[in-house]
Amino acid sequence: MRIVVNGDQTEVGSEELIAILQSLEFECDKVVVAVNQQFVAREQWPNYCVRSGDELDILSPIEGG
Amino acid sequence: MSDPWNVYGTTLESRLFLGTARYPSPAIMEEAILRSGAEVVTTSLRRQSPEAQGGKSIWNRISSIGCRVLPNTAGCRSAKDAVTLAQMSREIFETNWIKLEVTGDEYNLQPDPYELVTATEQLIHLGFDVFPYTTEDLVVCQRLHELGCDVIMPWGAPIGTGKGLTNPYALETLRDRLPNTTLLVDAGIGLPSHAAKAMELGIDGVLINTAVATADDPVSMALAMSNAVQAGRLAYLAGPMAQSETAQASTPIVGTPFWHSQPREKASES
Repeated sequence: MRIVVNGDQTEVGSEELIAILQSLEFECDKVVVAVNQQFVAREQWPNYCVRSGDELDILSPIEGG
Repeated sequence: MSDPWNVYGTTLESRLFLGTARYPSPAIMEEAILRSGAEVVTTSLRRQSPEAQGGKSIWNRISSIGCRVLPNTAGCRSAKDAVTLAQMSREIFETNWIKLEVTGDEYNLQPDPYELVTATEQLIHLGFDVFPYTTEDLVVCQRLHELGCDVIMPWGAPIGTGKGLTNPYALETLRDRLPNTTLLVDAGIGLPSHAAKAMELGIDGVLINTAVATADDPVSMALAMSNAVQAGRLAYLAGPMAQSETAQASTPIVGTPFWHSQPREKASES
C-alpha cells in the first residue's frame, strides 16, 4: 500500500498505524501523528488503520521562537 | 527585587520568555537561557526523519534545563492547521499552553487576525491556554480577550527584524484599554533598550529569540536583555516623571553665586 509520510511517497506493508511507525523506525514515544491533517491522539493508535493514499505527518519537538 | 506574576495559574519571577532557535550551538542556547533567568522557553514541532530520533538531542537539552515550555504553531497559515498542530503539541509537550501563530502574509510574517480569532475560539473550547501572537490592533486584541485569552502577545515589529517597538502608541493604548490582560511583546525586539521601553510602557513581559540567539555573544546578550526587562519593569512601578516642554533646573536656584544676580542695595542706602 502506498501512503505519503512527511511529504514522501512511501510503500508500507501494513495498514496498522503502530506497525507503520515501527517499520519506518520512528521512536513511537517521541513523535506525534496527524493523518490527512487531522490529529490522531496516542490512545487511538492501537485501533487506527491507514488507508491507501493517506497523508501522514509524523512530528517531533524542535527548537522554536 | 521580587516581583512575581501569574500566567495562566503559574507564578513566575522572570518576565523574560526566551526562544530556543537560531543559536550557534545547543550548548550556547542552554547557557543563554540559564544566564537570562528565563523560566519559560518556546519550542516547536516539525517533520522528522527516523534518523533524527524524534528530535531527541535538542529536546533533551531543552527539557534538562527545567524551564516551562511554551510550544508554538509557527508556520501555520490557517486556523485548521494551527488547531491540529496545537493538539499535537499538547500531547508531546504535555502542556495546555500554546503560542498561537497563524501567518497571513509571507513578506513580513504578519499574523492573520481572522484565522487567529477563529483558531483561538476553537482552542479555548478544547481547553487550551492560548497565547495569541497578534498585531498591535486594539480591536483584535479586545476580541481575543473577550474569547477568554488571559494573555495576548502583540508584536513590537515583524519577527526577526530587530526594529524595536514600531508603534509604541498602540502598545500604550492596549495597556490602557486592557488593564487586566497580561500583555507580552513578542517579536521585533532587537536591543535591550527596546525591551526596557516595552516594560516602561507597562507591558507585563517580553519574548525574545533572534536578538539573543544571533548576537555575537548570545550569553552576554541574554543577561543584558534580562537586566533591561528588570530595569524597565522597576521604572514602570516607580512611576516615571512627567515630561516638560521647557527646561526646569534641578539644582535649587535660591542662593546661586556670582553671575546671575545684581548686587542688592543695602536698606540703609535707600
